[in-house]
Amino acid sequence: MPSQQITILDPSLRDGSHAIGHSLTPESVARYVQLIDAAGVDIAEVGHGLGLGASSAQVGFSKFSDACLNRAALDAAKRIKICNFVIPGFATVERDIAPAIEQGISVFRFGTHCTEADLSKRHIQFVRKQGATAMTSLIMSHMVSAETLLDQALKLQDYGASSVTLMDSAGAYSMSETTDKISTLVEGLNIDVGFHGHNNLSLSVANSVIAAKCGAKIVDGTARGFGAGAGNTPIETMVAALHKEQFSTNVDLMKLLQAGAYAEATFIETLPCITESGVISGFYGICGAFQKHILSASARFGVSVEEICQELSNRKAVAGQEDLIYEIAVNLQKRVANE
Amino acid sequence: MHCKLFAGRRKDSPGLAIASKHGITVSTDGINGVLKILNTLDVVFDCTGADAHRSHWESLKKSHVKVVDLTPSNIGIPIIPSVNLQDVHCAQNLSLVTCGGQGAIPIAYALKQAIPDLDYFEVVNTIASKSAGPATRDNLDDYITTTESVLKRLTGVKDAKAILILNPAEPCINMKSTVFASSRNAFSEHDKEKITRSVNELAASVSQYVPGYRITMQPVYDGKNLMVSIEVLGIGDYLPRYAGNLDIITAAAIAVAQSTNQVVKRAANA
Repeated sequence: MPSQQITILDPSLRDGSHAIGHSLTPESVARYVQLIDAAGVDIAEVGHGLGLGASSAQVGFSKFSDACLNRAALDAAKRIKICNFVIPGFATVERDIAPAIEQGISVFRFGTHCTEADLSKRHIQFVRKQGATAMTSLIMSHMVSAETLLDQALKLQDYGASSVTLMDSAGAYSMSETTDKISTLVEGLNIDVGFHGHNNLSLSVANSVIAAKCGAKIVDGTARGFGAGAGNTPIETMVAALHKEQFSTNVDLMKLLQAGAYAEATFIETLPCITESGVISGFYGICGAFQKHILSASARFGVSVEEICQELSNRKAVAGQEDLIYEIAVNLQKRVANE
Repeated sequence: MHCKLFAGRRKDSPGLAIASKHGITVSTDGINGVLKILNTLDVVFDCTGADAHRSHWESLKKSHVKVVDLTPSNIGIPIIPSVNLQDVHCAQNLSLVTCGGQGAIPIAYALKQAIPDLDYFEVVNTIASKSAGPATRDNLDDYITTTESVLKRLTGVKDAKAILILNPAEPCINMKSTVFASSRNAFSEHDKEKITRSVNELAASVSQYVPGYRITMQPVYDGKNLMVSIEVLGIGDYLPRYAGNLDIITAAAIAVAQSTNQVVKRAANA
């Protein structure tokens, strides 16, 4: 039996950017794209941590514009595809997507909260009409059942998506959950299924391999796990583990390690580490991208990380709700002061 | 004000059933139902979608009626009752902007009144998924474009951003807006006092026509930046209480129509 081919998507230059406050430079973007291109990675996602148009007071301002980072990535790319992440509600067709297409971006990956797939309908249809590829993803997918995810994924398939990636945005997936959710999508869809992990419970590589075994065709990993808090799935160990399990990829592991070494020596400020707050956040299912904001609100208002996480979990916060972190911290501080 | 007609498209629409129960004449003929009795009307409220409103406006603009637009089409003069209600006299088509705009723009306006140096506003609106119907979802980009454009227009800043987030939590979350602002200079204690006074005064004036409007986080400062959050709880008559986003724009529409109605009456008496 020929071994299953897996597409490797590297969102270091997008999701990873949450860890350094969206401060990637065009120089780092260009060099890292060259290195992973040479290593055989299929797709690089580039931009602000929450994608096109998301540079904001709410999530954090980018040091360099979407257009500037795209230019650097597109100029450096030979074979690798450069992809832009898009969350409808942050980005619009006119302000963000059309200019990116104009620049030469031909692959987009839409992200909606796992129950809100229809928010991306118009954007997917626009991108398809322009002849570009519309990959999609369901964010914070630990929050709902496999059946709900399939219902939402079927809508995306219907709109013209080329794939649906389940994002474990909080690093909260257990291994049986990965099996259940990925298998349900693979069986129910005609398009490719993908998995995007975070490492809060040390399961990101295991979950990525399980996803591939259940039929996922696309898996995401970042250089050394570069990402907020506990980090993403480390791409190097993920590719090594996939090869051990007889999956084929286009990636040359040794060259990939060199790309990781470059990232570690330049833009990765601190290697991701599963600290106390990372475990709490994974256990409560809090969006990984919140990490820096939770730590800063906790320090500023003298409230514990656990209390903030508990309250975020009670309120079922979704990606992009950074303002709620501060509101919760301010109100918890008031409660403490009154007691 | 007297409601003469409630028009929809779907025979099984729950809204039409409620209107019928209240003894209001209903039509399932959409805009055509309205056009048939146009000469008996003073005000038409359009609660469809941005594209539909653009075509309805073509049929309404040559008539005498005031058009109150609850879609984010951004065709008419934007009205935020607590900010520029006097502008209802300036145009036939009155745009209610967006639900997020109705919630957040009063706060941005109050901030700018207190500190003219502010040069950036950002409004982040979070609503319950269940309060966002098919038109809201389809009009997501119109929501952002219109909110940003009116935010700039009514505060005079050149740079503004709008973000909309849907949260499916059960029980449903209340509508919430956070306004971020940046200044060229750091805020002095005197500035902070002025801001607190201005924001709370304007919030009180909004709560006169939207009783569930309240500040949930007083201004929090970080260097040259600040943030304020508000929440809108609906009155819970027809719409659920959490759907403050729907309530605030409906309440604004009534406030706008009442003031145009006075104009109509005055004109009739003269």
